[in-house]
Amino acid sequence: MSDIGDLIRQKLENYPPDVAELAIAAIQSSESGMPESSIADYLENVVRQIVRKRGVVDE
Amino acid sequence: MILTKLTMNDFRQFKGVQQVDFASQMGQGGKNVTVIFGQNGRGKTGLFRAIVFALYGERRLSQDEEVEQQELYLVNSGAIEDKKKEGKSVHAYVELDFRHKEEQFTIKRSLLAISDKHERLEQLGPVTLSHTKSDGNTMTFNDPEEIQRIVNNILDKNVKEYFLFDGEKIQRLTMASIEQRKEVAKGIKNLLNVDALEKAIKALQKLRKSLNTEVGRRATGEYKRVVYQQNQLDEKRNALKARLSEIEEEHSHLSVEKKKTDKLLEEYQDILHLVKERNDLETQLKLQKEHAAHLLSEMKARTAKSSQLLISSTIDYVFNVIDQKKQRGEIPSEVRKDLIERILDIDHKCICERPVLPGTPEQSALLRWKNKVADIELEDSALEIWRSLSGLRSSRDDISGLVETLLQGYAVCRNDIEKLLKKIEDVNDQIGASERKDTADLEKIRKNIEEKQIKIEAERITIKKELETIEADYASLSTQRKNLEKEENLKNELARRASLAEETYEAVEQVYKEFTDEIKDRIAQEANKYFAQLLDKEGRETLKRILVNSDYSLQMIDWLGKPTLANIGAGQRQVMSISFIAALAKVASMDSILEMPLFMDTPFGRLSYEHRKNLLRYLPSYCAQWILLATDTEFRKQEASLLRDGGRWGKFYVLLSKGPGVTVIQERDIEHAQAMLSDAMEEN
Repeated sequence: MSDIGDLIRQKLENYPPDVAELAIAAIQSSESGMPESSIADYLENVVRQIVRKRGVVDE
Repeated sequence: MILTKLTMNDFRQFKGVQQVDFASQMGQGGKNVTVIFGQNGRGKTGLFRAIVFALYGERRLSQDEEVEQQELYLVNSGAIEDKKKEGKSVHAYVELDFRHKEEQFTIKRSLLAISDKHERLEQLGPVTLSHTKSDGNTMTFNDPEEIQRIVNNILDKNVKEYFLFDGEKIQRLTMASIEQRKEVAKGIKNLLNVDALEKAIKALQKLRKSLNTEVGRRATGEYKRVVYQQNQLDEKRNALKARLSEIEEEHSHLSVEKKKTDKLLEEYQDILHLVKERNDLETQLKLQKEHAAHLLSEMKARTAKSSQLLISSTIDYVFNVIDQKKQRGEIPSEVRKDLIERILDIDHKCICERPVLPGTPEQSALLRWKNKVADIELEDSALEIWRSLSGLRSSRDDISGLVETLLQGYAVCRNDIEKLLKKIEDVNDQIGASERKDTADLEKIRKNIEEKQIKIEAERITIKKELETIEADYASLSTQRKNLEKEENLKNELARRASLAEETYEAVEQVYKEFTDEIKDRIAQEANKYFAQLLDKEGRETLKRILVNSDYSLQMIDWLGKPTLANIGAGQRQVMSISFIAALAKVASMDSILEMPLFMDTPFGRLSYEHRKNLLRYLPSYCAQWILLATDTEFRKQEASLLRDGGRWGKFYVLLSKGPGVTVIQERDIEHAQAMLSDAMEEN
């Protein structure tokens, strides 16, 4: 139910943007029916991208 | 999911191609109610079966529990008979059109049936699903597993009974077993998207673990130690959490077992005094049997000695003969022999001074006497026998008395045993053959359950405390880690990634907790609102509110604040289940109306008129679509009038019999429905 998903996303807005971004990626990939092991692999890439992006911003 | 059309060909009673178009207007005031009216045996459940078969390929419904698989046919018998003459098979099918989130779906399942003189065979044919997206593109699926996955994503199989149900069975949702509850909880989680959150948490946990392991491998010094300790604590935390969830499961199993035992104990309450009496009698019987066994063993121990009792008269006779000889002085005779010899050989005179000379009659008499008492050994033996017999006679009297006492005691004991057995038989007759369960055993079982509960509760408390300590230690290590990262300027990318995974995992877990608590509260709130509207006056006087448990099972609380689900009637259970379903639908759709049909097969049978009235008045606005299969006894002029006045009734079908095993579906004008319905003879 996408509406319920919105409620979860709304709650995640209270967290730092990179945390919310990774959490939403985790939830979306879980909703997509992707297997659990593939989700963890996918999230490794997401977390790398977020940190790199953040690193660039920091610097 | 909104059902739009059902087409059946040679399915159950529906011979040939027959069709139902469902009222499916969404939104305020839209016509969303379809009534399919038919007397019992006309095929209402056949329609219900067609929907469940089309969506899930299930041949059996929950009410088919007692029907043998081979006795359950889905293909129309008349069609099979017709084809049999031509030696051909029947290709039956069910096709269901529905829409979901503005996309169109058509699912079609086929069946192949053939019959000869002896047997009838039915087998599942292919299944196809066509999915037309909102952009107009259509995709067709033929793989049954893929189709099932798509259908489950729309309406999870585990919660289908919440939306498509047999009226008589809906109340079962309020008393499902632990396994059923788990399945239902799984379905509800799917419906509420909670399962996606759980999956996300697991994936983040895995990500965090792998990144922390990598950081630990590459780190050095104090930082390495902190990361290592964190990883160790994490392992321990996971193991404890796993055990905690096992304990929760064990706890609910034990609670169910305890409830069952309490129920049995309650059932046996009226025979409890008899069971206690039987227990006392059985204890007495045991003691008496032990006493009898002791008496027997005493008697056995005396068997050797008591054998003399068999020759008691012989002993007396022999003793008396010797004793008389002894009394007469014939035995022993040694003294007299000496005297005779002295008289004859030395003194030649008697002790009375009378001379005893050779050749005299006195000497002859003494010589005869001397010869008569000459066998001394015989005399010794006789005296020995006399002594032995004397001893035997004395012990015989003792043994005889003892054996008699033992025999009397044993006879009394046997008599008591017989009496006790008779009493136990009488008590057993009063208890009754069907209720021989021993309440004493039940008490023991209950005690065992309680002991186990106390034990696991203690373990739970210990684990929770341990977890609290671990969480605190972990948090402190996290702070140390961050400080070290700052101090040592450890801003490498890997450390940042691990740190982000950690924070995100904790955030999603927190969101999950808040979300599930919120959602349960909201379901309970909504369910109670609906319940208050649907419940009849009698129910409102006794029942206070519905409680939604952590596993989404339901409980009913009465006005005294006590759980009372076990005591409420079938009609109230139905209303409670419907309120919960409506609440679930509302919460799942975030306060709008969930796009799900309520397909109810003959739901009014156990409901009071007030319950029916309330359902007819409110249900069309609670749900997106209501399909009601009703009999002539539950859907009468009054019910039709109420439904029509609500303005949401869109379609009306009648099931008509056209010979044995054949039903035809005919659409009728709602305005003329009244004319064909019966008058209520009861309340209004």
